[in-house]
Amino acid sequence: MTREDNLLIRQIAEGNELAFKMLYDHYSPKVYNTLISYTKNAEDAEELLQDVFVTVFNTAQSFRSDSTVSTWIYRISVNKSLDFLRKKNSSKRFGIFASLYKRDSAEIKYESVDFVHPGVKMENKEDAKVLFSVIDELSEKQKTVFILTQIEDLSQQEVADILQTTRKAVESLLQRAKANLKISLEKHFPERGNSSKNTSQ
Amino acid sequence: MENWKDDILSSMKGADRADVPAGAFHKIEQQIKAQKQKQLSPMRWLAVAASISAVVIGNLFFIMNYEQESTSVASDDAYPALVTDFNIYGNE
Repeated sequence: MTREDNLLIRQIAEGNELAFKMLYDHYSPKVYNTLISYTKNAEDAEELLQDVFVTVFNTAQSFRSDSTVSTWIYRISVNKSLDFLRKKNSSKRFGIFASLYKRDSAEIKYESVDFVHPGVKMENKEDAKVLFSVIDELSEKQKTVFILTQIEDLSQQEVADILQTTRKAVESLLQRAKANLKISLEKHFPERGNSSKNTSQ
Repeated sequence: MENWKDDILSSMKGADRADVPAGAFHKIEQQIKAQKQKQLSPMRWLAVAASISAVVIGNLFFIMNYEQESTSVASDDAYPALVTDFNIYGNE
């Protein structure tokens, strides 16, 4: 697909809308799936999806084939997602600050803590819900590595290319992400550990 | 003992991709079209630049002419004799 992708990008740079549609059809499921893992909200993910593909269309001319089209599109998606989360967190902080002074402004919209990924298997639904409730406690890099390797199922080398780092660094980030998630799980869901101990006895 | 945490961490393994909302591509197309309409073409930029420079040059021309006129009025005082020669009512 790499050669065809490069050809599509060249055609998009010339304003070819059909080529753009073909690229969209191929990459939109991957992009949307990544975005929804960050935003944990279908509306926000759709808005970011539009933003990602408008950027792809606008910057196709400046695409250099030193990375693959897939890497480039994933990089745009990750950057847009992280920007979105930063903005959301700062507005949330401002909301809390404002609510200290104004009683009426205490109506702050928090994201759903019960987010269920639409693609998750029925038997894993509850576990996935717990996973997404603690994933925001990771740093940006750890979260990105975890989402791309464990949810998007990309190889560590692909993730290293997206983050412009080494495979070793990705491996280490993934280990730390998993360790930190386990700490968060113990902290927030201690009853789970107890119930599993009881059932094992 | 650690299994419950590992189960949670691997709960997204083998999950399907979320379905892309229908109509998202149409919205993207609309956004791109709106962008194109907002952007001024190079020819329109040239037309705007040309009209601005025409206004500036016109104003400069007016100011320079105005200054020349005021200096030429002052120079009339240098010829009082000539003026009195044609002063018909002054001799009465």
